[in-house]
Amino acid sequence: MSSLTDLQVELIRGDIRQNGIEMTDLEDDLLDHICCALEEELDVNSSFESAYSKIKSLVCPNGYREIQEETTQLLTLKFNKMRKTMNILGIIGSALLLVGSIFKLQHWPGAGVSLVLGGAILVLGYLPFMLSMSLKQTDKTISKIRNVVGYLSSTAIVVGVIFKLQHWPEARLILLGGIGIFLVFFIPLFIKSVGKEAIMKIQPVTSAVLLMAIVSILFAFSNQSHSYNYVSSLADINDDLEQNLEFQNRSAEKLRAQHTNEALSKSSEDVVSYVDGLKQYILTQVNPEEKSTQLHPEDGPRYIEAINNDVLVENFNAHEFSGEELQKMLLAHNEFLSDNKINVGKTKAWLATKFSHQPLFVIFNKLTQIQIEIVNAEINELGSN
Amino acid sequence: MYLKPMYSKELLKGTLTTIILRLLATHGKMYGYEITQKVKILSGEKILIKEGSLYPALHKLKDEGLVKTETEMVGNRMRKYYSLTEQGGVSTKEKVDELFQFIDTLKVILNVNPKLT
Repeated sequence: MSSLTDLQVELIRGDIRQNGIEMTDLEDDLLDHICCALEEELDVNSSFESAYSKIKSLVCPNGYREIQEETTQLLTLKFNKMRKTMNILGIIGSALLLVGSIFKLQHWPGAGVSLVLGGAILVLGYLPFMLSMSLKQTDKTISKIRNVVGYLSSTAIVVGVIFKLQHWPEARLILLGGIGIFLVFFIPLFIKSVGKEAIMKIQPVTSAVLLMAIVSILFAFSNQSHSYNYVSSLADINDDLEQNLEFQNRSAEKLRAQHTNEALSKSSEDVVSYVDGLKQYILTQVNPEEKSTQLHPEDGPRYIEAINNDVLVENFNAHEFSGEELQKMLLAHNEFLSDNKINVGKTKAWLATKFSHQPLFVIFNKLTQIQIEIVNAEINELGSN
Repeated sequence: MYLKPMYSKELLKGTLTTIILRLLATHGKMYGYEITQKVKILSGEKILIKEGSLYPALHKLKDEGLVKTETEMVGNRMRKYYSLTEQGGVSTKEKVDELFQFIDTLKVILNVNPKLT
């Protein structure tokens, strides 16, 4: 009987590993088995390559990985019922995430509940179970590390997406951490430990869950990234404007102590605080019925892209704050100013050109600008006396 | 995929572990390839155990504590010999008895109408 060289044995061992055998025990069994069969075959067939491929196709026509899967299935038979339950839970959880993302995108009610519930099912139920099952299927350190890394990153991604969509703190950090771990550690470990043939044979349920999670994430971010730069630059501008306003206010305070003009100062303060009210009104205008879609000053830009209609003009008479009233107040205020009057038109056309068909955040900026103008005008008036 | 050829896999599915245990009881320690060859010879090539069934079954038996392994180096590869544990010996007897009884019962059932044969 022929005997295999060490190199040939190592070649076969490498091939077995490359094809997804992760249990050392099984690897030893298969290696010895293939070698025995091969040594017999080599008596009648002198080419190592053709003999090996013949034996390989005889021993496992569907690839080595199938033998490992058969083995782990037998070994974890007692968990089968639980596995089925968990698979169903996994699908439900991912589906809830997906549905929640779509609802979020459309600003329909119930998105938050669906997202949090779906995420909780995945994070507390499905993922830990998958981790414990997958750890039973291998005794190789690299595979164990891979499974733990995969668990951590998928948990972080799901938690991060939910935090992000719910506007909870540190969402970005969690999400980036999860994606980072996945890309930098999990994928290389996965390819290294499983081998290319086995990648084609990932369980259908696992891939379905993965796919749904990925689609949810894409959905969630297509919502967020849209016009983000535009909105965030508007937010930056507004920050600058607010700082400017504060600075001017301080100068105005000093001047008021030196040159008293109570009527002017009172009118000025009234108009500024009226505009503050208008700004506050815009922040709650996005969808007044659903609290979660209300704008908050600190996360204003997030929702602003959802509506870009002319709320101010449309709500002329429907609310205690209106653009028309602002116009009147500005005109009245101009009476107190001898010079440097505030730039305001007397007709509705002025209001329309100023505010109509502007995104809310632009209107917000313009209102801050008006506040600055008012304070500036007061400073100039007081200074000129 | 299970056992082949001659007999359908459904027919032989429940008997593989019994066959393995019985062989180990008779021959002491055996390695995987040896088991497939032995079965092939003993059955007159009517039963060929597929590797895809043998190793999962062996690992399951080991997990249940019915067989144990010892290793030996052959060149630079490891050969694993399987042998019965004490508990495996008891279990083998039960399983073989059960299978014989089953065969007897089958004979009775299938011979109800002798004209059939």
